[in-house]
Amino acid sequence: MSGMALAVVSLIVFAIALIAVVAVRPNLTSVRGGKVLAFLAFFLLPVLGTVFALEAHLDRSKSTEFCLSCHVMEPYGKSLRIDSADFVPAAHFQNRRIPRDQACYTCHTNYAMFGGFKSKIRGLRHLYINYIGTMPAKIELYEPFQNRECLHCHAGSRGYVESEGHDGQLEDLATEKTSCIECHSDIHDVANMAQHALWKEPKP
Amino acid sequence: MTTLDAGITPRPIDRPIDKRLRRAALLIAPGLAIQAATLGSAHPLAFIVFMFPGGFLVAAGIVLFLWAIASA
Repeated sequence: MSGMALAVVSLIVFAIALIAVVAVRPNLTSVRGGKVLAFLAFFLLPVLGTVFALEAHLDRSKSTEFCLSCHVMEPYGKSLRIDSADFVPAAHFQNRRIPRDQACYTCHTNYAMFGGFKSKIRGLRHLYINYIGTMPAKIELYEPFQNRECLHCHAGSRGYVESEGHDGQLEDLATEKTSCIECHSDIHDVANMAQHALWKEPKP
Repeated sequence: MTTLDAGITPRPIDRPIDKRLRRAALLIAPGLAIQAATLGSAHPLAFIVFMFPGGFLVAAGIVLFLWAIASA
């Protein structure tokens, strides 16, 4: 459990203790101090506890573990271990170009205004579909993958700017006239996972 | 509060707000306990349990508390 989650649990335990005191001795509320105590116990602390707990849950929903806990996402998680530098997600994951514990979120969030918020709304929709709705036969992105998501990290980096393959392309890439994945087209390839050897991370 | 001749101290008579506070406590405390329990897991189901039994109980309890103090 993270430090934030522990702090939230402590706050909630404190709130429950105060609620118990007021519930056992409700006549405390006949004096001013008791009224303040009841307001803290029954309103302020539960609201704060819920808001902080929600924040902890939303933060956790960015984790690779969270995304891959849905059965349908397992092949996508496995594709991060394809033993080939040609596969963009695998190369990013294995070489720590993205944080491994937030691998899905790092590339699939939208780096525009309200992008993080939209990702969370989509996440709620995914939860609904996973547990209540109907799973689509083929999983697809809501919209074509934007260069913006790649350029969030790569723009201006020496490797990107000086790459021979990018000669004369930088303007088109920046304005989305040319898509990064036109050339870097080996992505998750979940349909052919059986054909790929998987990388096993050596234990230290 | 008075002490009867037999030495028994009677319970103070519950005011209407006391019952409402107890009912609010019975909603908020379990709701918060559920919310705290879900913080131990990164599974999507933990989030759903946090939102629905947990969040719903806390919200209902807070509404009941506000109604109790407004009507007192």
